[in-house]
Amino acid sequence: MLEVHNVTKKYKSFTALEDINLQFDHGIYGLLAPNGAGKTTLMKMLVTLTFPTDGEITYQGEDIINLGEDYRDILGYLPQDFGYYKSYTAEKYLLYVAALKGLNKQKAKQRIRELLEIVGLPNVAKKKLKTFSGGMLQRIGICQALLNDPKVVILDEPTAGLDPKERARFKRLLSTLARDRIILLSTHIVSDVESIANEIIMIKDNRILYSMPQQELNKLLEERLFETTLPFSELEKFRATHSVLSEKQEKNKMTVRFVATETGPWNKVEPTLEDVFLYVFEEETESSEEIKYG
Amino acid sequence: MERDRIPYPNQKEMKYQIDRIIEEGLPSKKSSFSSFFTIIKEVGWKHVFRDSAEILFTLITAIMIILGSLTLTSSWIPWDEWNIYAVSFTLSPVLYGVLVYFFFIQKQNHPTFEVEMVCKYDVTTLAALRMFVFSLLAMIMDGFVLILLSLQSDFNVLFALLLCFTSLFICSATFLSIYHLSRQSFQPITVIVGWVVLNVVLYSLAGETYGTLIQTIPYSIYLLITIISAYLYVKQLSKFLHQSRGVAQC
Repeated sequence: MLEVHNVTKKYKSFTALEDINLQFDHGIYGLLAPNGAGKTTLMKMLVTLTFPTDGEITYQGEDIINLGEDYRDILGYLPQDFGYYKSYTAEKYLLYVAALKGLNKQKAKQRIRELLEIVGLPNVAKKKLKTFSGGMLQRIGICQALLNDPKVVILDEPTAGLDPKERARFKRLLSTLARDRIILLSTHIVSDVESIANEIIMIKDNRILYSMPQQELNKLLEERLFETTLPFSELEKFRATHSVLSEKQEKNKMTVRFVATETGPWNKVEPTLEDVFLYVFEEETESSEEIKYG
Repeated sequence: MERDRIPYPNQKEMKYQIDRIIEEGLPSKKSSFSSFFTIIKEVGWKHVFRDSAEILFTLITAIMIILGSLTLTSSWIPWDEWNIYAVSFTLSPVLYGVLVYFFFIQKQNHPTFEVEMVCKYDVTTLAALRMFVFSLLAMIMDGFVLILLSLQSDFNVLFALLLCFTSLFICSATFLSIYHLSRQSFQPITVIVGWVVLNVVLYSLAGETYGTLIQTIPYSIYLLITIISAYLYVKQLSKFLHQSRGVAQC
């Protein structure tokens, strides 16, 4: 079990994360938060790329920093900005990472073949990485993270650059892998984790806001989420008086999904993870939009 | 009825058994050299020195620059007027500094750093082996340059070589000590730059007195300093192998 105990991370006077407590057992954990909330900092601490200012992170009861190479031996990590050697072929690069992971050449070659097949790149082993598209590179990144058959897999924005078909394939892969290992997946795209994560972790104001199964998280909006269709002329007024989560244009009208405490002539709908995410991070979304468009 | 006699072990046997349990139960702490062999066996030279072509190119360029500068300045100051001992003592750590700067310090800014840093044999582990080889390379190259210079000028090659090793190990041990202690507030590479600057300033101010001072210190003192600094250097290197807080980002 991987555990985060009262972890705080500060960069001089700036506090990136405060008093974080988490427990990871087998399964997929989705780390959801807007950009800049501290997801990457948490992930970097979990892979010993950076260290907590306070508190500790333990694996099977031992501090991961003290475990050193024994911890890294069971670790697979895909960073947000995945670096590679442009002049290397996919196979050469993966053989290099496999060597650093302590795999012998024969075993590594076999594993590379398997993984390239799994990620849908069986015929590119001998092609140079500089010729790869963003999605192909991301899949090579996923391969390198899984080379050592890790017990703890940490993936920072792994679906960036993947098309819908690749995303679906990736989700299937994670569901298979999650049976006997810990997978922590950070994203700001809710659909990446919606159907596969056993537990969702949300970070807000540098702290863990929620860490619970999706079904429980959805209860936050139970009986409070509605949908209604409005003519465009009424939309502005409605936005001003209601907490609107999403809007969809349909037949010259607008279908609005919103949160309300009182009932009205609206359709009650079942909340999804995306609704909860939009509701929880409403202020962030609004302020970022203000910055973007204001 | 006679009771069964339980054969309790004596104190000596108990101590032996306890020590054996501890020895077998606890993970053994490998020595630096056995760790080096494990790395070479599991990772392989090819991957430890993935950038060997770049290293070779940098090394040749650095030697050419040093030899070129010496040849150029020899047209202003004849070889015979050079105090080769002061030059050896001053410039010996430069090659090591160049290698460490380009292939260790700069490597931390490479985009692959994060992937390499979370592998079983991470950048710090490999750095220990690489720096050990860099110091050997620097020693060989210093020797090579001195032999080339001895064709032009008459001096005691062995003494000059001893001076080279002394300054190389003083600088490399200090470099790594600072690296482990406080690299946030002080860039360790400045040790090597500082060493060269300090010696050039001393030579400029004191002139031949400085050169004579270097030559009057007994061999035994240099040898003792070299052995102590080499020991400290290996101790600092082994910290990379046994300390997981290596070069992580802060």
